[in-house]
Amino acid sequence: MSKAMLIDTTRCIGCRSCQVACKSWNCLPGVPAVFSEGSNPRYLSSNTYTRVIFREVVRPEGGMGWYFVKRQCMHCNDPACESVCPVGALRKNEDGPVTYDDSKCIGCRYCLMACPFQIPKYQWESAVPLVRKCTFCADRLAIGLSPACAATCPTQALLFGERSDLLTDARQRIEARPDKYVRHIYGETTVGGTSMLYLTTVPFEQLGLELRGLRTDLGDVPYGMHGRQWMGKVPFIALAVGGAALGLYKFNQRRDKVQQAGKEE
Amino acid sequence: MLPEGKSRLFVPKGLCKEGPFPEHYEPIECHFTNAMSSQQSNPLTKIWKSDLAKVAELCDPRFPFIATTFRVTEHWQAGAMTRNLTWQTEMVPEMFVEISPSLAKAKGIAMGDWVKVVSARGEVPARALITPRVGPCICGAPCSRNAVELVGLPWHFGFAGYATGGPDRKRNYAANQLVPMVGDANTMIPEYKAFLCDVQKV
Repeated sequence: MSKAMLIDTTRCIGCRSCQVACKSWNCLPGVPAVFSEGSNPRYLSSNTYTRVIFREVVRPEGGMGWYFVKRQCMHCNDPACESVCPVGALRKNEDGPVTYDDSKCIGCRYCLMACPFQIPKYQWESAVPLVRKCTFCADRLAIGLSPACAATCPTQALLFGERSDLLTDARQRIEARPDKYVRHIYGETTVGGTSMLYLTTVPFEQLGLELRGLRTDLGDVPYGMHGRQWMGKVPFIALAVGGAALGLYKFNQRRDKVQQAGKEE
Repeated sequence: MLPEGKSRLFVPKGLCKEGPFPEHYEPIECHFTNAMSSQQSNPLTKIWKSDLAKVAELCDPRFPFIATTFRVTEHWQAGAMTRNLTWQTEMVPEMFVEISPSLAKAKGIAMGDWVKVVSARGEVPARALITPRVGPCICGAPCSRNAVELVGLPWHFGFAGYATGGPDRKRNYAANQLVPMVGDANTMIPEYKAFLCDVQKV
């Protein structure tokens, strides 16, 4: 029942309609920018939920390769951000999206630290800052539409559908063109599976994308587990630290009392 | 086949001013002599009389590079509409010129530097985008074959609006200041895709 998006990077032409559609649907402002040799904006921010990374490669055997990789929230099946959120502001929905509740957030920014893809962004410039990230257009999904980026993609590089169907489709594509695709679906098992599935011509680490939030060394262990492991210890650590502080306080008070009593005598 | 059922070599009337067979001509500004024909460029080229009716000579040493103009997907035509949209201008905010790594090395230009692109008609400031997408091209008649650097400029930028293509509001960043004011013999389509220029460090 979980929805997903298949990002076939071999079909992407780098037009960045997805970036504009995303800003349009989510009412995000365009920010003043200067020249960038790759693509603009250079980074994801609280005003930019998605961007296309450009990679230009001169092949050693001659010819050139131009690779476009869209980046946005991966909507993990077991998200690290959800597992560390102390107030439950982040939630993995039944139908796929990892959504964020403005009214619950206390601004602790644990999600920024926990996310292995460096996705949640904080509104640093705001007086009342909130966390912002791709919502998988949960509002559109709720009324039966596909996400804004997938709806606008002119080359169908972004395919929206049931996760199981898309995995079957992705495997068929790899089987049909083994020369074109890397035999790996990024996101199928990465960090326990994500709702974003990538098909690529060259592995991400060859494009230097591990420095751009698309790490390939994350393994298949659900990252939510790590979060729960650590967050589960918080009450005990809090109690232990609190108890130690209380003990010190009492000890100091008692010492002062004894000293006072000694002086009076 | 023509309406009366016969074929013809020449068109009797109308705009088409071609001869009977297809011919190759070099652009009016060119670094190569025509390898296909003794006629260098189209003799019926339309040159509009104006201040911009200046063209570089064949193999002009003042303008050692070939320039071309292109579009990017983020902008539309001269940018009157898209340069006033913040979503579009944040993606391609400034005028740039694509130059090859070899040219950048020869001129000592680094990625993102402001450079000046000069042609016989005018000059345009632009950021240097160093990319192997463009490079020296080799062409011409066998006796005068040489490699000439190609540079590329988008023509979406201008002098007014939300984003003009650079930080200086008083300057004009339109690539159309460089291009030759000449039209082809049949349809008067301007020859904006091939002309000569120089790239200068500022």
